[in-house]
Amino acid sequence: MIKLLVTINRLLLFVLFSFIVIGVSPQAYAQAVSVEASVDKKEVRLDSYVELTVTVNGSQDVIPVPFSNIEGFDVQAAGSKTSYTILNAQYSSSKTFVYKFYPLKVGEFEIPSLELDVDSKRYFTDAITITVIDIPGASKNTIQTQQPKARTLDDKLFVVLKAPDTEFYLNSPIPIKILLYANELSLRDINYPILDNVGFSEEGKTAVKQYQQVINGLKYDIVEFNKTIYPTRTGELNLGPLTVNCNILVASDKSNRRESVFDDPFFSDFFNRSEKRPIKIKSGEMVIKVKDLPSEGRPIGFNGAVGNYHFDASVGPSDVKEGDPLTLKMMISGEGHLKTVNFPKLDIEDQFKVYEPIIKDDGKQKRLEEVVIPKSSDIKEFPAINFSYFDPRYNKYLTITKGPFPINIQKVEGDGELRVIGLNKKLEIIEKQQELGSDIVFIKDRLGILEEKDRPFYKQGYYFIFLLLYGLLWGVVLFFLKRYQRLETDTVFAKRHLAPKHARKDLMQARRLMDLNKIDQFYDSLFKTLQHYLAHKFHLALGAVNYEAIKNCEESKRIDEKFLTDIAVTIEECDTIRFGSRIIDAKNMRIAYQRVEEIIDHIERRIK
Amino acid sequence: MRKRRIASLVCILSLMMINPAWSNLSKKDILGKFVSAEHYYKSGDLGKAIEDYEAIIASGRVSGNVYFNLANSYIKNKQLGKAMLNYERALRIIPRDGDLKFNYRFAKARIKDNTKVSLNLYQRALKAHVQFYTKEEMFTIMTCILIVMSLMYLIAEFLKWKSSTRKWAFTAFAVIFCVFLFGFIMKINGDSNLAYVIIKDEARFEPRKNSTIHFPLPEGVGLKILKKEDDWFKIKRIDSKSGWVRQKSVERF
Repeated sequence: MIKLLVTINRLLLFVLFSFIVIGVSPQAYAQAVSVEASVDKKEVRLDSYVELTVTVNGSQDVIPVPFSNIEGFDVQAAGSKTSYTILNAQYSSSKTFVYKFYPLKVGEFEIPSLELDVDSKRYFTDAITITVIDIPGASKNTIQTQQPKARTLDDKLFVVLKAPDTEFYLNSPIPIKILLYANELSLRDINYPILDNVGFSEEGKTAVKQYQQVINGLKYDIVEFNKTIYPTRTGELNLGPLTVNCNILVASDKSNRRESVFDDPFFSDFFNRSEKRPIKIKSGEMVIKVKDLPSEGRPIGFNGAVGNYHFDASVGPSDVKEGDPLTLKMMISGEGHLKTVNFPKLDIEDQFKVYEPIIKDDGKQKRLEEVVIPKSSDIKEFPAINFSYFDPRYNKYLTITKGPFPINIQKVEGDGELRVIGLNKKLEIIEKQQELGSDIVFIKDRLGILEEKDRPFYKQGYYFIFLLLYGLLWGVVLFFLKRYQRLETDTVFAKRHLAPKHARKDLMQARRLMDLNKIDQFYDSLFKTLQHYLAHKFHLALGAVNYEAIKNCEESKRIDEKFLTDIAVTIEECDTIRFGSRIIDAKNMRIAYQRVEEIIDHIERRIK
Repeated sequence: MRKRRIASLVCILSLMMINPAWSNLSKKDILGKFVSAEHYYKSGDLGKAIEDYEAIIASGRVSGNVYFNLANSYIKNKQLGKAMLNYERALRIIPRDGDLKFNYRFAKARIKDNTKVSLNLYQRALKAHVQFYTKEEMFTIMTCILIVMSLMYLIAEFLKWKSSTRKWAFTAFAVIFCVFLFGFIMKINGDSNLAYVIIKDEARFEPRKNSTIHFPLPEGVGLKILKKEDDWFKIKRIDSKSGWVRQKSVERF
């Protein structure tokens, strides 16, 4: 019964699986391809936009529609989306592309038939006609409704570039105006105009002001940018086009109700029913002729300053001691390309010691502070300073002269001591007046320790030998230290290690007894020597030393059979003589002695 | 066979001990040149003073004082680049000499270079550490630390120090060793391919005479040489700007 239920269960699962597989089979994908294009509205205000939706059903292999130069509109892609549907085991997919068409002028315009390449086949949409109407309530903002109205976006929004003249001198200031005009449009996020023309340099801040003006009966909101530029090369230079980036507030779909009270920008902003459309507005171009500065009347020392400048200079203090510093201050301000203006060069190095100046430029004025030290107490004045510049207003060179500055230098008796030189707080102390009039510490009169150039000691052989010897010595000490520690802690090792040493000592005792012909005592000593040696070497108890015990030891396998036999013979011989009454002569004693010596020698060689 | 091996080893060790640096001047001659250079310097004949100091250096034996005096001679001879180069060389031998540090700062202040790189606290500490010792001193300290550590190991084994005591002691020495090793590596890296501008010049975008100027190279500015192409060096300034400069305008450290 249970088996039957399990079988039915498996059959049901198989059927369900088959349905799923068949349901999502390739046949179920079969879907006809269709292309649709639709707009959200066919009539649009000049300050709004039309949303075109192109939907491709039944395929994902679609190339987006390229738009270029559609009359009356500025087109921007607003994204795409893909959707999938499974309904009644039928799978379908569609791809949608959205485009925003911003109208540029009033009138009727056509979104042309679109050609799409889907799955390598061509599909066409229908052309759609859109009517662009003027902004409702525009007439409210015009002074006279009979006057011609702005019909295109270019008429409603444009930039004008103005310069006071078309001819200028090199580096002379050119005050330009960039006027952004907007009629019945709400502008947001207006950026400063960008000038990227070669041959002009921008300096200073851009002044901005806003006002309204009526032009040909139309009321324009005007944003005026005032900035000064400087031509940096001669010849005919193109000025413009200048680009102003900003956003236009355009009405979104929801605010498409006409003549509604909520169409007011206040409500649009309040309910956030408008959106920003980024736009780049370009001005026209103009040609500026840049002339080189006249050579006639150019003063000596002129170093390229063009504009209208003020110059001031001072030298102080006027009463100083010999060797004391003076501070020269110069200041230039005025209208002109201040960055290119240099301070007058002074030819005073014969009379004064000159230090590096500090120059500060805050954009409005340039200041210089320089420390100078009179070289002689005979100097009575600091020479006059001439600053020359070319004034384009009068087309001539002007020179401002400051000084000469009288100075009174008191002579100091004896050697000069400490002298303080420097600028304001950045004082440097020259410790000692040197020979040869130098400010550096005098040369050294000792040769110092001579060393080989580019061969430091650590690259030399003796250093490596030292390291090698030290390493060896250290290794030896460590070896003995470890051995000492083992002897102290490992008794088995210690006994084995000391066994030959003790055996040698005992053998000497036995030899003495042999020489004295003390037979019993000799054999007793010889037996003990062998017994102690074997006990220590094979880690056996003294009483357990016999032929069998030694033969059973693992290490005895390294001992030749002959010597094992000799051990047995020696032990037996010793026992016989010690406990029996066998007659022994000196020759037998010597043979027994030599046998024990050979046994120990052999074991030492075989077992370390 | 064994004797032959021992003889070979002795030969190798002897070769290692032999000093390959060849000197064409004895110590007495060097001292003579040093005294005569001092005399020339004092009498204002800087050209001859420089000549004598350079002769000492060419002999293969140098001292910090020789480089110092040579740099002084150059600075008085209005050769700021050469002076900076030799002050730097002297600093590698006698880095804590007060007179040297003063003159070095004096020379550095005269370089008409506005390129400055601000260092943080760690970089300043590292720089101070690296500049305080010579390479030889650093190597000696490292060798001493190794010897002390090895002896300490033996003592620790003999006296059976606790494991924690050993750990602290060895870690402390290992840290000091690493500090000096890092400083030593930094010093070697800092000196490799170092050069100084000895003739005022400009760095260019390409190794060509007519190439656009990238940035000025005032006399005395330190640089790193990146590569060489014909008569041009590709160099890198302290602020990592790189360009090409004529070989004759710079001298390797």
